[in-house]
Amino acid sequence: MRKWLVVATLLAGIIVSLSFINSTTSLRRIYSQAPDKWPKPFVDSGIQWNELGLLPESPLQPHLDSLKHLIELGKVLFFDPRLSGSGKISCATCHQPALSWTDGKERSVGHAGAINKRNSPTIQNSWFYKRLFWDGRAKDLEDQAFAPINSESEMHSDMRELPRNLRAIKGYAALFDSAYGDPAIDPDRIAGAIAAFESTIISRQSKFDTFLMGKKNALSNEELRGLHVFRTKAKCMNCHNGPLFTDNQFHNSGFHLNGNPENDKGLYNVTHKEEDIGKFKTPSLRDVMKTGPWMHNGIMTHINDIILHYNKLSPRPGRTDTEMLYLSNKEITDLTSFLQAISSPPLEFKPPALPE
Amino acid sequence: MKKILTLSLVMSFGLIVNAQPPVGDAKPGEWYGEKISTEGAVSITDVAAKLGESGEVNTKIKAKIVDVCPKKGCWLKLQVNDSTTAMVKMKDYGFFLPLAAKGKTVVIDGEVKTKVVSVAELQHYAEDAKKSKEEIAAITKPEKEIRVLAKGIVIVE
Repeated sequence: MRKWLVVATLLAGIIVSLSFINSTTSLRRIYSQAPDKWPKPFVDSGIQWNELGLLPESPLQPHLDSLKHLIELGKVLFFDPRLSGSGKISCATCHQPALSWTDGKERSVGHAGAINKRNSPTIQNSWFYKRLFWDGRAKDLEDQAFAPINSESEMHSDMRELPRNLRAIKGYAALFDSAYGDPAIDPDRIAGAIAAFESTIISRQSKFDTFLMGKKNALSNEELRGLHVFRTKAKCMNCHNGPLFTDNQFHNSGFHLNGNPENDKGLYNVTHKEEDIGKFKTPSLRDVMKTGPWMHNGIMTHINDIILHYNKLSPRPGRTDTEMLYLSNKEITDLTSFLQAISSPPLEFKPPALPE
Repeated sequence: MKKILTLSLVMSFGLIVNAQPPVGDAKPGEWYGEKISTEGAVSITDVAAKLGESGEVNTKIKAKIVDVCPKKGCWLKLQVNDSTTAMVKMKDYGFFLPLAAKGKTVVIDGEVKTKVVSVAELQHYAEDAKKSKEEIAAITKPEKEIRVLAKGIVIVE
């Protein structure tokens, strides 16, 4: 009788320790399959989601050759501070290539040191968004480009006067000529070229992409467990889904009342619908570890604090109660490792020579 | 030939990144930017007369929109009197107006300034607007321009 007990205890012990060792191994086996065979993510009912996937290329990738001159013009305009009223601020002031095309600041600094309302987002993968700005007030990148140039608190210039200022710089005529077929300069051409350039800026391939391409050891055990937590218990895919980790929608995740002297109502400013109060665009999580400080107002400086915020308040769009996620410390560490695995250091980017 | 090729390529890019004007009806009562009341609004003609050559005032004005920036809804033109118009920009570029706002009477809360536009500037604007050489040459006097930086706009009628 006692013999049986010892054998049973030993067996149970072996099974428990084996399953412990094997949990990561079996996770690796599961996630080494094609993403459509991965376990279903934990999302709330009614959520439309897309599976995570390989980094998509720029929509202009097939046209890079034919649109070369337009993109080149856009790049020059993007880096030219003469687009601003003071001659000191360019698009690249708030979207610096070395900082993954952000400015690393809580909120961006504009004309004469003016502190703007919101955090400067990266332009990487911005071609994907259906609406631009944190509150979605612009329909496309061209529309968006008008705003900072014209805004008295950002670049403090004037789109009506800008073509004249650029005509005074002799070198621009040739650039507009090769881009558009004649040297005319007007606001739409300026915005169009900037938008074309921005559409070519995407993230670099991450460890996660290497893993998806079949290199099954590209993700460490921690990162792999983090991927699983991301897709399941942490419910991140309620909003951050698809190859770019964004649902392209607007949500209130409880940050609109913090940090800003004026309560920023977000999408409500555009739609005037009460249910849109405090909703902001879901940002892509690609390169997230390189694009802090985070949230629309830049008040979050540690990624852990954001995870803890969501741990207490389940990240469910339109959440009305306060369901907790109950993530363990280990799960939070794993999750952060996964966020590292979808972030790559920025490529060195050589600013263009500006025309005289 | 090269021109046609380049233009068609640029147009195909336009299709990929498609631009549209803001949509909306701009019905009476609709508002943009900060929500403001129409109480105490003064006619823009009166404000303009008081401002003189280089004044600046924070006030609520009532005016008719004669033009909306056609592509992006990025600025408005208001009627001041038969010969003068005012340019409106939105504060922080925080909001845009739909094209349907053209012809509507609005109340705007914001900063009103006057600026003298030089003959050279006027001629450049005329050039940009593709006016004829004769029309451009006919510009010989500087003009007073009124500029408004709007915090909030509400459609009145």
